[in-house]
Amino acid sequence: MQRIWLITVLSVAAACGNDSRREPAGTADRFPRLSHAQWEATVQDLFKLPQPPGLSSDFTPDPPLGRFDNNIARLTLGSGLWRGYQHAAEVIAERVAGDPALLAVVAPDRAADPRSIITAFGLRAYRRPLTEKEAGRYVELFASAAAVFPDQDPVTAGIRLVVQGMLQSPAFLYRSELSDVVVDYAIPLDGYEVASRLSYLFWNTMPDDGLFAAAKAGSLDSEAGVREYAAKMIDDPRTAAQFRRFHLQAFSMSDYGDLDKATSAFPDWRHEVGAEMKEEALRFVDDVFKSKGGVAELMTSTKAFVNADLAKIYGVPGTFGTDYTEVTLDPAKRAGLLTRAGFLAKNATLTDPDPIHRGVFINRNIICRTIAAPPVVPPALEQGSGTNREQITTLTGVGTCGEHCHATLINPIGFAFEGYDAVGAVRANDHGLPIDSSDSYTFESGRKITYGNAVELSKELAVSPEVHACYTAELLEFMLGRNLDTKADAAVVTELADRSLAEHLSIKELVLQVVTSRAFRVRALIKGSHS
Amino acid sequence: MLRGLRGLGGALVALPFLESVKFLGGNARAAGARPRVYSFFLRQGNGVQQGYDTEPDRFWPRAKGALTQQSLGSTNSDRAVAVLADHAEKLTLVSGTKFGFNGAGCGHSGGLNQCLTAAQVTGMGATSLATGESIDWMIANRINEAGIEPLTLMAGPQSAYIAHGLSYSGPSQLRGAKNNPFSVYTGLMGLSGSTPELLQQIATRRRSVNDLVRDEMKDLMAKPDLSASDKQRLELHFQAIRDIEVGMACQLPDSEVANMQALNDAYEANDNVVEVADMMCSLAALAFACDATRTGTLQIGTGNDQTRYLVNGQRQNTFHKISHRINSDGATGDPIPGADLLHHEIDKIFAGIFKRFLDKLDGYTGPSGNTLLDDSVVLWTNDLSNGPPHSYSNVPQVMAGGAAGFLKTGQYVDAGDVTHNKFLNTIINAVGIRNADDSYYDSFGDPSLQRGVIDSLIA
Repeated sequence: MQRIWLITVLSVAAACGNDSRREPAGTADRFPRLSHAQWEATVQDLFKLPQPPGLSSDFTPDPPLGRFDNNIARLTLGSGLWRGYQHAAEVIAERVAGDPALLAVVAPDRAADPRSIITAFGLRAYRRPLTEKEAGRYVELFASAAAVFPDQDPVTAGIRLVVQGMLQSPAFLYRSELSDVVVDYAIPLDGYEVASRLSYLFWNTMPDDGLFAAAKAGSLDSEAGVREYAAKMIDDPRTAAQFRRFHLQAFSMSDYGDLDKATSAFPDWRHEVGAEMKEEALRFVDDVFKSKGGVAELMTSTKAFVNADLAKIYGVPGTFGTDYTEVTLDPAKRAGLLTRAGFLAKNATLTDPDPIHRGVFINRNIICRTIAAPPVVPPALEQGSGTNREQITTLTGVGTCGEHCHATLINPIGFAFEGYDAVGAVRANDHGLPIDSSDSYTFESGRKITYGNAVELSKELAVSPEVHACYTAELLEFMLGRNLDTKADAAVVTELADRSLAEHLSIKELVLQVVTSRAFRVRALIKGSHS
Repeated sequence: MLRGLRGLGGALVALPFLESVKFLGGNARAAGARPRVYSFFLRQGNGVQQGYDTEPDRFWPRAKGALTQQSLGSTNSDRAVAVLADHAEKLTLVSGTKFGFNGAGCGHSGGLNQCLTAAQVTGMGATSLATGESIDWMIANRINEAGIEPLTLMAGPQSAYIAHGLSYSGPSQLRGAKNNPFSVYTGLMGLSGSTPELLQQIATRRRSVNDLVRDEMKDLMAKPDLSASDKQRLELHFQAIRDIEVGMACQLPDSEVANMQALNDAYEANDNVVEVADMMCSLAALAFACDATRTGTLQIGTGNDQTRYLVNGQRQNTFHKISHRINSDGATGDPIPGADLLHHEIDKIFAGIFKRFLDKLDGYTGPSGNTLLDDSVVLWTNDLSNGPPHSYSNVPQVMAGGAAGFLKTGQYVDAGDVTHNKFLNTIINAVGIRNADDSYYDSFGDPSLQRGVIDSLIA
């Protein structure tokens, strides 16, 4: 994962001072397509199904562009995916036509005028009221249905064809933002557009009845109204699930689930322990989110959720089963996410800790520092003897060809974790030799920190502006569903990161700040238009 | 579950294939004077076990020149390409091509970015991207029916250090690859129905829905303030909407479809990679036989293929580690005994996949009346050249099919250490694309590369 853009946007912001606050914030793109996960959840909610339809597994998968799966760069639509959408729309419409309960979801009153059926269901499918023109097209389509579904009664046929059409409409497939009136150098989104942004951000699905009502009543037209509604949404379990997805991707936790260790060195190791480490890490970030923790808690909290396998790794006394129990870890030995088993075991070999990968990950994903990629295939070197740290230093330390990145950026961070073995347990020695996990690290600003071990390092990271800026930038990228590349983005990151550190803002509060920021409630102008 | 309803309206797997038809709405392009030629690009990762340093060559034939079943099957029976001996007269082996640009830190990613694009690499490490379109899109945009994508296929898991990265519809526009054969098959199936009347009804209601959607899209596309990427997004979508007439039947045997369906929950499993690759090749051959699309790609394994292939019935170390010859994805680690021989055995597994693909193509009749293989040009390529150096020079290029007489097959040629854009240019000409003045097309890939074709490959 690269962080080049962050350095770029921050330096642009610095160069331009506070002028950037006058620039329009937000994004100019108006047609982010539903991700496949959003499509599933939206269809489920639209038809009030007990579970997602599962049809998107046949869709053309989205390419891995950008860091998060909701990045607009991924969300294109070609003939393969179009065909997938068409097929899914037909399957769903057919099911609706054959199921009285589903027919009643689409048309509670079958005897009603087709136009009123269309406008009522259309509001939920399009996530906004239909225009007269749009409603008129569906009235015609409804009327034509009897001829193409001769075996069905005309109302059922009409509903079936309308459903088939609406599920293929760009208004359904894209989170379209059609507002176009310029106010103060940007285009404010209307209530329905804000409702969709909120609902896809917090819940990854379409707005519910409450949000539609708020949009209709105009209560999402003001910053205060959005804040009030968002403050309610953020405590919903669906929101916690959504930010679990954020942390999973931001910290590459998927990788924890598939780990191998040498049973010669770790006789208790089973492949399933990796999945348990992942679950523990997710419960940890969930808890930080729900209990209104912030960056500091992610970096320093000693609260953990362990089962028998994990309790053993953490050296927690007591009896544990397969369920996860909340415990407090020894604060002298653990502090936050980076001292947890998942991160440590993922960044380790079959037998030994891997300070290089631990150091690279923290530089890139926690500090957002650019590290040049390694040589295509590093030269094969003779492995030395001594401790793990001494061997790595021999290979990559000062005076070697790895000096620039490794000796100054990667190793000093990675060595802090030498007190943890390849499964994340505290170790007393390294191949019988004493462990040295002290070092110092110099940030790009020139500020230098010194620490004796990973706990001290984590505490330093928790109060580092770079770490707050990095986390804030990742959060903003996820929430906006696009790469951060404008001066306005950089300004939002800078302001929020400062407050995250100085005011100890919780993740929830950071999210609410973004939601009520201008970037979230307006669409930017296209360069050259509206001049 | 809606999923269970997929087959309503007729048992899906037994239905006729209906995509091989002309399209309504004036989308069909004027047929050119040149014969219709299909192309396909199959990618192996991690290089092949060819000669370097102390490792003897176990990939190429011993001598350049003519290839015969005899020369491949006996004199060179210890070489990986010997697996293809049955098709010797239809093969073209090309050594001496190299990638034009360095990767950005990660050799695997940089090679994957370049091997079908001949473009420069942007970004860093495992997430680097190609700055140009790949050859399958270049070809599809010119010889497919308008709006028809190339097949973008993969065998293997899609979540990885480097996942899929072979096919680009434009600069940095990486395309997603399908990795579930049954899903590819159902995607190719198109209309489902059993009688002409029913098919006509399906076609009619599709058309009325399509008309409505097209009207809506026109309204959106007419908006004055669309960003360039929105414009591109909507245009791509608009072009993808197609009306289909009822046409000829074309389908896979039930047993083959049942095998694909049986893998519906296990198509990413390590031990199924080869079977999935075979199925994907079978689907590509079917798609060409039915003219559903005319080009495509198949990436076998993730970027630095981590599959643990079965050799002699034993599940081996990951291919990536074998390609490093050490028990490590990096530079230091314990040696893997006999790793070069294991790499060679894995090369033969890929040769087997390619051979079975050629068998399939040779079993269909092509548009010219000869076999479909004779009317195709298909390539087994690699995003690296060899084992531990993971070099970008002398990339193994194993081509098959005569492209309706355009290519001079049955030979092993040294291209002379040229950048591989010339090789890709040659393939582009083979499918019938030329410059505006009817001279050979010579400018695929990055403009800084030397232009041209490889004359010795042309009949």
